[in-house]
Amino acid sequence: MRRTVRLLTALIVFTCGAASMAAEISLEYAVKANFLYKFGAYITWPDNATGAPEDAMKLCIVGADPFGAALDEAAKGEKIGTHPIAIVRLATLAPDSGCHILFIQGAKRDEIAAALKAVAGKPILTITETPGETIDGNTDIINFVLKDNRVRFVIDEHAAAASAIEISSKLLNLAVAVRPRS
Amino acid sequence: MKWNSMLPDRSKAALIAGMTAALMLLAAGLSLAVYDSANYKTQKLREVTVEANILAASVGAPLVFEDTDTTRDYLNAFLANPETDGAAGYNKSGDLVATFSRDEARTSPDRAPPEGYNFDAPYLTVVTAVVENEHTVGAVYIRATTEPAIRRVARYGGILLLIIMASLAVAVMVYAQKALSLANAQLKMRAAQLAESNDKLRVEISEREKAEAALRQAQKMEDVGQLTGGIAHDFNNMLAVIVGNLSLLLRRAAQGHTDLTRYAEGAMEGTNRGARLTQQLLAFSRQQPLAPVPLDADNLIAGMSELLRRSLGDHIRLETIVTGGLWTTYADKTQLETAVLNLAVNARDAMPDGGKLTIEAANAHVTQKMAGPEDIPPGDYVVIFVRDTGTGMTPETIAKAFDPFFTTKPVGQGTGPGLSQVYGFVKQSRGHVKIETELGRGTTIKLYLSRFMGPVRRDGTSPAAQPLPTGSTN
Repeated sequence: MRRTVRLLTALIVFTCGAASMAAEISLEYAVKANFLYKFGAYITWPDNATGAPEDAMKLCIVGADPFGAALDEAAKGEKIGTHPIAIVRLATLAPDSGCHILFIQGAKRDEIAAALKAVAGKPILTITETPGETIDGNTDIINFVLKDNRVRFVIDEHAAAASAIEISSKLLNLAVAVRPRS
Repeated sequence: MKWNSMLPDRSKAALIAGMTAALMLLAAGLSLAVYDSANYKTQKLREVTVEANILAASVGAPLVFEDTDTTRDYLNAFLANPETDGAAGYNKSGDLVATFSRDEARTSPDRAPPEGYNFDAPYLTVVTAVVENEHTVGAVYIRATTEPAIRRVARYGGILLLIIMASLAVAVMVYAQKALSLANAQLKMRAAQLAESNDKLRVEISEREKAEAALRQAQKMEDVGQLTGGIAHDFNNMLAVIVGNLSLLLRRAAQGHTDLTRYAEGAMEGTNRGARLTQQLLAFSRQQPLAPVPLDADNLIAGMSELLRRSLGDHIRLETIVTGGLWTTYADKTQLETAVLNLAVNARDAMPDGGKLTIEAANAHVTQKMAGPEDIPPGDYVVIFVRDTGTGMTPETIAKAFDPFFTTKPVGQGTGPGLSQVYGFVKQSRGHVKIETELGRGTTIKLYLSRFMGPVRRDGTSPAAQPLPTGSTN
């Protein structure tokens, strides 16, 4: 009970900046919005994938956007290393959309599968909130889960390796589960 | 006199050195304590800061993702350090993510405190920023217990005790040294005093010796005076007799009387007495040539009986005891007679109210054993006892009895050398005299005369008689 209160307090604080805008979104998505850009600090992309130090890194939302302005508020002014963050909302995913972090929102498995398939093998941190490790043979790298009423995540290192990105052990430590590389 | 002025320089130096050492020890101990106290804080701060840095380095991601459980796991790791009292992690906004406290009563602040450290005895709190990829993502807070000053002081108590003990030891040593020096000084003083008094004593002794010598001289002079006086007195008496008779003789002659023989005889008698006195004096001084002959003491005593009876008077009963088989002795007959007579006269004088005089002759064999106290060499002796029942003699009288002209009688009643004649004669004859007396009961004088072993002629003389040495001083 106490934990929940504390979590709620934390969430309220997290979202206080965007309170007016995100009044309608749930605390869960406010937390997830924060997590999205924060993952970037613990991910290492291949050198050719990030471009120049000043180049923005794209945080793409494909499909329906559950965060709204809360995401923009949260990531405002934040950086991944030296790179500023650009939030890109996509209706459909194209292979050359140049995303670094990709959140795939969708209730339909086939849509998700299609999106994952589109970026398969590309150095993109794919994030879904759909339970299950693989969707039609396509695997996301980070999968949001709810545990004890709190937002946590599962990491698939195998998929990360397939996408040629490295995940910091610090982040791996926080995952509720990790699928190993092999 | 102050004690330290009595101390030798060496102990003063020791005292100063000891005190300096004690002070230095104390100063060293104090500075050590101060240094350690300061050092402890620095050390403790470094220690806790390192812990905070380790925590900050590891707890970054959990703070970023607000993972309370994981954060707490990290925090709990620091429970392993018993001096860690509490810890907390804060997110970027400064809100508490996770915390733990050893004691529920002590909680961590709800908001992240400013970075830095704070000593709030007995706790030291350190707050360190958590930096991930050069971005500050939160803060950690560690509260550690510090050892209370009182406990540290207690720890130094040991050192303090050691210092005190050392100081005490030094003090005791210094004190002992001081006491020893003092005792030495006193001893030296005493020795000096003793030497001084010894010198005084020596001077006194020598002075006393001088005084004694002077006294002896005075006594000698007194003796000489007495002797001179006695002789003068006796001669005067004799001269008076001579002069008196001669005066009468002259007067009678002038008156034409012819019966003058009486007076001439009287004068002659006085002259003879004077001659005898001279003989006695010579005998005493051992200058008189003795004419010793072998003689039988019993015959001699028997021959003197009449003379003695007349000399003693009626109130004295005379008893002569002669033992048969008496040995022959060897002496000057006249002198022996004189000696016996002298002794008899003395005995008579000791019995003014009458009494009994016994004269006895006996053989005596003096053995070694008997010899001791009497100072008489062992051998065969003929002993002549002259025993009276008179007043006896005091020890003082005995001591001076043989002094010439010593007398217990008033001046004018003396009869000359007396006992001294006896002494002189006996000694010259290589014999001995012994006095046995008891006050109020009487006196016995014993004359020890050596036994004569040579042949004896019927007439009582010995032509082959060895002449005795004449008048040697010993």
